[in-house]
Amino acid sequence: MRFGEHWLVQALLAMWIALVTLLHYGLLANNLLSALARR
Amino acid sequence: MLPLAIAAAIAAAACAFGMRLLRFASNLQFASFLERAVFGAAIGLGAIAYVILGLGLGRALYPWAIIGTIVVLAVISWRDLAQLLLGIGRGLRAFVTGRPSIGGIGVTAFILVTFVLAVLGALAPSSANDWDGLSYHLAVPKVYLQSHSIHFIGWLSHSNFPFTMEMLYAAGLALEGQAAAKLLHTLCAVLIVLAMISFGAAHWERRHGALAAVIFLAVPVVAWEATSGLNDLAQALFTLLGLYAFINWWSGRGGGWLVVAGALCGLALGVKATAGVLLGFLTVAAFYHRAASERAGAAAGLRAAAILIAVAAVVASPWYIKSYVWTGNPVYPFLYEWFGGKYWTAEAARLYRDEQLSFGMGRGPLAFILAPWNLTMYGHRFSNFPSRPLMYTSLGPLLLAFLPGLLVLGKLDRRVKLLLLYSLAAFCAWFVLSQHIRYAIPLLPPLALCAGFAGSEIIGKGRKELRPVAIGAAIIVCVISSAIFCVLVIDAIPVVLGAESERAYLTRTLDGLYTMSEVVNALPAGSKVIMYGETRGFYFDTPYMWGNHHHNMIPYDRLSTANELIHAYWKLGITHVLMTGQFMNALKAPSPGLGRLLADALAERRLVPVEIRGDLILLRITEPAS
Repeated sequence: MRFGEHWLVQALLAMWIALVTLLHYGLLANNLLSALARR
Repeated sequence: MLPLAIAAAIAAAACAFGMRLLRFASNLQFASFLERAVFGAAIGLGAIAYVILGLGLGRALYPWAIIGTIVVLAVISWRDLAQLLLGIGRGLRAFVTGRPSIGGIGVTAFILVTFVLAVLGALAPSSANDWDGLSYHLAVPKVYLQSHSIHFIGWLSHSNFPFTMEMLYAAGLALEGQAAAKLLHTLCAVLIVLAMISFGAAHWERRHGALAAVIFLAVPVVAWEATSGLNDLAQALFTLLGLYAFINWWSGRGGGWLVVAGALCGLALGVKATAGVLLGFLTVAAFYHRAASERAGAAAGLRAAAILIAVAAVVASPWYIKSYVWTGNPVYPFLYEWFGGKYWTAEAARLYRDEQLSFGMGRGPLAFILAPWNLTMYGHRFSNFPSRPLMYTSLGPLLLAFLPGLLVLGKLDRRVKLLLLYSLAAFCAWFVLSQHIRYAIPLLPPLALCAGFAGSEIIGKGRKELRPVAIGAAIIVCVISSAIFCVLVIDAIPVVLGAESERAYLTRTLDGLYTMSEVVNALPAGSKVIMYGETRGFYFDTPYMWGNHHHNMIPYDRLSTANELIHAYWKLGITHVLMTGQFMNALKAPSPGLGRLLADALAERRLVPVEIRGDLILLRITEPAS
C-alpha cells in the first residue's frame, strides 16, 4: 500500500485543505470587519 | 461594443499571424488545434507589439499605420485566419453538443462568470485601483501617441522598461481608447486559461488543466488584474507558454519547440527583466536534459542552451538596446551601481530600491519558509497598502491547500517536478527582489498547474472522506472569489452600461484627479505642468512631467533659491505646479532640498494657487526675475 493511500494521510490532507480554506476566509472576514469598524 | 470588436480584431489578426509564423518552424508537432491557436496568439501579439515599436521609433505612430498593420497581418495570414474561425466554430459546436460532467459545467460556469466580470471591469475607465496603469502603463503609450513617436522620456524612468504589453496598449488607445487597450490584458488571462486546459490535455488529462485554470482564476489579484491596464498577466502568459513549449521539446514533440520556448522567453523578457529567471532556468534545464540523455553529451547540451539563449536574446534585445542607447543602462533604472544611467542618481536608486523592499513580512530565512503561508493568509501585507485589508490583494487558499497533495501522490510526474522547480526559482527571485503580491503573478500559472494536477488526482482517486472536502473547498473558493470579484466590479457596471457618464464615474472615484485633469486640459496652449506627490497623468492632455524621485532633470540639490527653481522650471517650459495637499503640508515642516525651495517659492508668491480639486492644488508659476 502506498504512503498516500493510508487513511491517516488522507485524513490529514483533508484537514489541511479544510483548515487553509476556512482560516483564509476567516482572516479575510476579520480584516474586513476591523476595517469597517475603524471607519 | 466597439472596444470588444477592436480587441477581438487585434486578437484574431495576432492569432492568425502567429499561427502562420509557427508554420515556418520546422519539426513542430501540435497536440491539438487549441495548442496551435494559443501559441499562435501569444507569438502574434508579440509580433504586433514589435511592429508598433518599429512604427514608433520610425515616427509613424498613427492610427492609420496601426490599422494598416493589423489589416496587412490578417490578409497575409488569411488561410490561418479562416482556419482559426472554423476551429473556433468547431470547438463551440463540440462544446455545446457534448455532454460535460457536472464538474465540467461548474468549471465552465466559473470561468465564464469570471471573464464576463473581467470584461465589464476592463470596459470601465481606469480609476483609483489602477494606479500604475494611470501613471505609466497606459500613460506612456498615450504620450507616445500624442507625438506619433517613441522617444526618450527623461522624467519618467519607467518609460525605459521593456514595453511589449504597452505597445499593444498603444494599439488599443489609438484605435479606440483605454477600454480596447485593457481588454488586451484581459485577453492575456483568457489565453493563460486556454493554455492551461491545452497543457492538461496534451500532457496529463484535460481535467487537470481545467482545475488548474480554476485555481488560477480564483486568485483575486489575478481576476482584478484582468480588468486593469498593468502588464503582469502578459508576463505570466509568455512565461507559462515558454515552460509549455520547453516541456513539449523535452517530451520529444519536435526540436522546433526549443526555438519557440526561446522566443517566448524573449517575449517575457520584453515585458519585465525579471523573466531572466525563466531564461536562466530553462537554459540549465535544456543543457542538463541534452547532456544527460544524448551520446553527444555536453556538446549537445551546450548547443541546446545556446539555441535557447540566442533566440531569446534576439527577441528581447530591442528593448534593452533602446534603453542602453537612450540612458547608458540596458536595465534602466535598475543596477545603477553597475551601469549608471541618464537623469538618475544614487539617491534616486536608493529610494526606489527601498520602496521595492518595503513590501512583505520580512526577508530572513524564517520569513522565506513562512512566505507561502503569509501570502495566503495576509496577502494585503504584500501590497502598497498594508494597512488596508484589500480583498483583491490575495492569493486565495487553493494553491496552499492543494499543493501538499503532491507529497502523497507517490512518484511525481517529471513535468510537475520541472514546473515546481521553476516556481521555486522564481519564488526565490521574488522574495529577494520585491515581495509585492502582483509581482508573484507570473509564477502562479505553473504553480496552479501543479496544484491542479494534485487537486484533480485527489478528487479523482482520493478516499471517500477526502474527495468531498477537496470538492467542497474548490466550490467554496469559486463562490467566494466570484463574490469578491462582483464587489470589485459592481461599482463600474453603471458606467459600462451607460447609466452613468464617464465624467460622473471618474469624478466620484478618482478623488479630484479627474476634475483637476479637466482644469489642466483647459490651460492655455503652451502650458506644461510639473506634478509632486501625484504620478497619474493619463487623463492629462496638456504636457506634464513627474516632479520628484524618478529623475534629476531638475538638479534640486544644486539650486539654492526659489528664483533659481523658477528659472529651472522656465527652462523646461513648465508653467504650472500640481501638488497634493499631503505633499504641500509636508513643506510646512523644515525640509531640505526641494521641500525648502518650494516652501520659499510659495512664501515669495512665485507660485500662486490657481485651483483646488479634492486633495490637488494647481499653482501658476510667475515670471522669473532676470
